[in-house]
Amino acid sequence: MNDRWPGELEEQLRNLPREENPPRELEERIAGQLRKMRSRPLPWQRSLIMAAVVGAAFFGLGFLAGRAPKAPSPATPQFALLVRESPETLRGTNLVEEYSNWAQSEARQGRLVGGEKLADRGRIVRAGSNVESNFLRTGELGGFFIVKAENIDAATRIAATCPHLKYGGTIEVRKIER
Amino acid sequence: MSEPSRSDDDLVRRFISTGDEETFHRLYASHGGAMYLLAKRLTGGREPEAQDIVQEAWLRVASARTAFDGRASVRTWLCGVVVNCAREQYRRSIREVNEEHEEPSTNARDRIDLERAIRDLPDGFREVLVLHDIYGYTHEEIGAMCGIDIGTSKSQLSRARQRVRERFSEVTR
Repeated sequence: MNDRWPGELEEQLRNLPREENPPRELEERIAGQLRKMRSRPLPWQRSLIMAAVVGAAFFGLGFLAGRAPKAPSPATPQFALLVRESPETLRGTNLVEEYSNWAQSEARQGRLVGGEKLADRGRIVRAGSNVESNFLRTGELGGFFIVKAENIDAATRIAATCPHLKYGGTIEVRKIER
Repeated sequence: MSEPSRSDDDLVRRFISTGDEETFHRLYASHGGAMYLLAKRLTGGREPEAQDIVQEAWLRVASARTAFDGRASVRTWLCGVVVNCAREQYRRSIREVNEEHEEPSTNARDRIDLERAIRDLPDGFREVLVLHDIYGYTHEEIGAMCGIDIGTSKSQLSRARQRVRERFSEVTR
């Protein structure tokens, strides 16, 4: 099959412009968003903050081991709190302290089982040989916590107290099936 | 729009690490027009979406969510970020089942506009044709950006070209 362009079309292709002036307001709109972004931590700083938060959570768990008179029983269902960032999250200078206080409080009451920070990059694998290297999408899921709660309503109440929400992020609550 | 300078690599690395506004304006002056027109073509001419894609691309670069290794030119790399943002736009946008493009003109006296013929292609065909035949990306590069293998890129390009040729032959019949 002849896959080449006929002469007329090939010439038109060659003459197509490769750039076009965007609307004037677009540049300033982007600059405005950049100014907002500079008021919050950079990704590497967020990683440190998140690592500090998770570290504080685990420190709280270890320090309070065996001291949870009100701790849920081992049979209590567990829920994943999937922490999702928005462009407006992580403002504020007291972030680490707030997250740490929250995590320690939950750990003290035996509700926080664990948590991890996820890398900003990852992959989405689909059936067949397609492997999509999605550097951008996975950045929206920042990490997760595992909590014990009697039911999803109780888990939701725990999630609702997380300071992450105050900074515009969201938390998805999912029961861990056992 | 000014021509890209030789210090583009340094500028983009600085922009990735600092996100500062002055560096942005310099890079935008050099590459914003190319990014915008690429986004516009990838969206089939939908300007509001194209603007959103360009904005998202710059913010992703500034937030260091993507790395520049210097193997490609700055413009090629920035356009790659645009392609990724456009693909995310495809996945997020709600496409009406009965969404219709404007019917292509069959009036033999109308001059078929090549841009319009490309715009009317299905998303996947348009994406590969725009990247390969207009912007000069190789199938290997397209495969890496779009998450498809080289064979798929080639077959989509072939089919895209065929459709555009058919449009032209309809008009001149």
